[in-house]
Amino acid sequence: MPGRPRAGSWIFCKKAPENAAHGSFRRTSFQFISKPAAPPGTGGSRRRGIPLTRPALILGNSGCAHQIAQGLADAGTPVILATADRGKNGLPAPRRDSARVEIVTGATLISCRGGPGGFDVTLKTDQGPYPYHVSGIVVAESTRRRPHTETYGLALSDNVWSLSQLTAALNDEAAARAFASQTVVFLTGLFAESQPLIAREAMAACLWLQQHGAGTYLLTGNLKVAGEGLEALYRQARQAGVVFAKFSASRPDIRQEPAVQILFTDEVTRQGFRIRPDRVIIEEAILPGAPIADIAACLGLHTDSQGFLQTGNVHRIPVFTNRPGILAAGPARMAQDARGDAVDAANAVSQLLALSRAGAIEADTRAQIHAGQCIRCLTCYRLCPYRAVILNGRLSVDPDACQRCGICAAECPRGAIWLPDLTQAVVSSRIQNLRKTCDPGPGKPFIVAFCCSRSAVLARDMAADQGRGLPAGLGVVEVSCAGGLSLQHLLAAFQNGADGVAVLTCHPGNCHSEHGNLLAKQRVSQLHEWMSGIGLADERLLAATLAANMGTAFAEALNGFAARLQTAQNKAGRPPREPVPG
Amino acid sequence: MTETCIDLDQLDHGRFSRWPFSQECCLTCGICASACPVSGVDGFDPRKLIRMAGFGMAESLVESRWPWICTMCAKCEQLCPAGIDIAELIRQIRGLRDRDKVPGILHKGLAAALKTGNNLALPKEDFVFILQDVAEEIAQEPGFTGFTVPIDKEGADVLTTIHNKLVNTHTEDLKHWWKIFHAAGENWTIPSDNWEGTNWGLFTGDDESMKTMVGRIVENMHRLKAETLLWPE
Repeated sequence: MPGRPRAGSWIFCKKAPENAAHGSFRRTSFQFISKPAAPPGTGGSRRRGIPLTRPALILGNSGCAHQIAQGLADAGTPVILATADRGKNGLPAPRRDSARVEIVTGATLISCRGGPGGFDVTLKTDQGPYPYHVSGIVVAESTRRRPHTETYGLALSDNVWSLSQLTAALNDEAAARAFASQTVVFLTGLFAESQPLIAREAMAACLWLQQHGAGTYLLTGNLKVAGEGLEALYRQARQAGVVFAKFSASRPDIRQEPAVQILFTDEVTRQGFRIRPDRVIIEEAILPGAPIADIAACLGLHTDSQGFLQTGNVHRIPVFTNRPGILAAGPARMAQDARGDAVDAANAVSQLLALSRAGAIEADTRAQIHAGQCIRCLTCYRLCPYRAVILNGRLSVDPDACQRCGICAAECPRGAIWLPDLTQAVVSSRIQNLRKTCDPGPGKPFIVAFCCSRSAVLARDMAADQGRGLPAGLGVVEVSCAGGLSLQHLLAAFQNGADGVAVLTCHPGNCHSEHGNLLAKQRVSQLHEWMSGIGLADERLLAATLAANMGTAFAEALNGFAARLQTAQNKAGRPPREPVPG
Repeated sequence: MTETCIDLDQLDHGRFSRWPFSQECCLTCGICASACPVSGVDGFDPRKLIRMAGFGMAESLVESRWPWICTMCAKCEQLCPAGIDIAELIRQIRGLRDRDKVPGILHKGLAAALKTGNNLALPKEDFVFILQDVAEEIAQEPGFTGFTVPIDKEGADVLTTIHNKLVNTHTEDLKHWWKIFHAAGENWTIPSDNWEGTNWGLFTGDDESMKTMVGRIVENMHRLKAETLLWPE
């Protein structure tokens, strides 16, 4: 018999159309639409299973962007490459370079609606807004450089240059000859960590200058040689006579007025040295290109602390973002060398090809919004990490973008959203089945563990493979994301006889749904605050974060939990199990 | 840290760049300095020395006494992960000093050897006399009747050099191995010229002199048509 909630426990919970998954539905005063409206832009023809080859959209004018365009065109997919750069002849009008690649110059992204397989994008050009209908989007905007002038307390001048200024000058033989017999000092990594791209450029420039008669010095903090060929380049530079000085405990004293002078104590010889160079070259920070911030805002993409389009979230490797169908590649993703860009280009091409050829969609198990109950508070729209909620008068869910995390359903204040696999009725019945099959034996605790499919479930499998003992009364409820767990779900577990309830999620920063784990943690905290007020000891609820490879930690957490529950049971002298309401 | 500040760009950084010891590979890891038995003496260690060579601080290196108190144990060289021939480099720095500034008697003995064939400038007759005198003493011992020392014997299987101390302060030490040769029936000889077993060109970083001294021994081998060289040094 399904459990019926007691009146008191519904105060903080939301109503849900609990029988919707079973087909029957209690009619009330609102109108129920049995299928969600098809989101605009996806095209009915695709739904009926006719594959179309739609263009892919590339934002950016970098080498990586061009490689992606080439790869897609070679595979027969049309491409639109849009960049704010203007054409050489100054005309910003779109022109066709080849049968399949359309280049749009002077373009910026204004809006984007729809989902993977069918995005409606509007680009602003000098001739006005242009709409495009594309299967997928990849951002590959070039990086930009910012010299570390403030960090080093220097101003750019005749004899203080940035690294880019120098490398540009070295392309001109005449200008390069001007450096012969000059003393040139390079500064990297002294007041902020540098990186391999900078180390390569600086050492290559040193080597070239040294070979052409200059006396070069490179003063550095940590020299970042973790890149292909960089150790060899360092050795070559040394052999050519470049003098390196590394600073760990101290820093050089660098002055610009009245003339450039550098004083330092060499940490190996403990000798004080002075250099009065003809030129000082300062390194630069490599930052995301200028259009990236606006693109991220427009598309709802998460960025890292520097503004690049990929956070450290493991689920985004190699070229994914939080939005299905939208990729970040090459310099838009991180500052990397040409090889990294090429690998990203290849990955982007293969993903975009799959999108452009997407055929019929399988059975629709995504989130559904009950139009009659929705009050258009836009909570789901704002919270969805995949931007899968579409606002077009009415709110609906794009089935291709929806990842079934359940965050919208758990957060909706009206309970107007449901996931077929995650309604309270479905979860309650799963727990009841577990109660029967995982009988722990007399006096031992029955534990319901809500486990995120991407971390805790895999950790449980690993623990089982490793032969680690798990509590006898452990029942695992797998959810695609812990963010879909509402207070109702947690209470349902207690109502159905759980002695303890555990919520096991991905580590902070590694949630596939970006903030699903944080939301789950918040709900557990909420419940902790007032559960003793309704007769549930708060030790009976546990929250923990895990990674997929933490089998040992999984076993330890649950065995520890079981032991504490056991102790509490023994102390109380009787099983504290709630009677299963009939 | 020293008081004086050196103008780094005034040094000739290429001063030692042609030396074939791979010193430009140095990563300043410091393993050499940890292994060195005289690390820290005079504030020096092998890592500091290699760094000074990289800067081109030739004067400081040549004037310092540290390259001369280096024991040439070569632990630094054996452990260096960059394969730098540290001990050899130190030896070459020794070679850069003016010969009259070479410490102790090292160069004086070498100069004498270059001129006379041995460190003591011991004349040939005196050398031969001492050898024969020791041989006579051996011949008086039971079991060694008739013992003689073969000098300049052509066609000997073994030619041996003589460390100068063995004909100076430690003549008794000659007896032990001469008796072994005799008991073994060995066919051996000592050259009467250029017999010196030490080679202080090695210690003073003087490659030319070292070659000269070695060349003389080779000459002796050819002259006396000896098979094997015994060089106890």
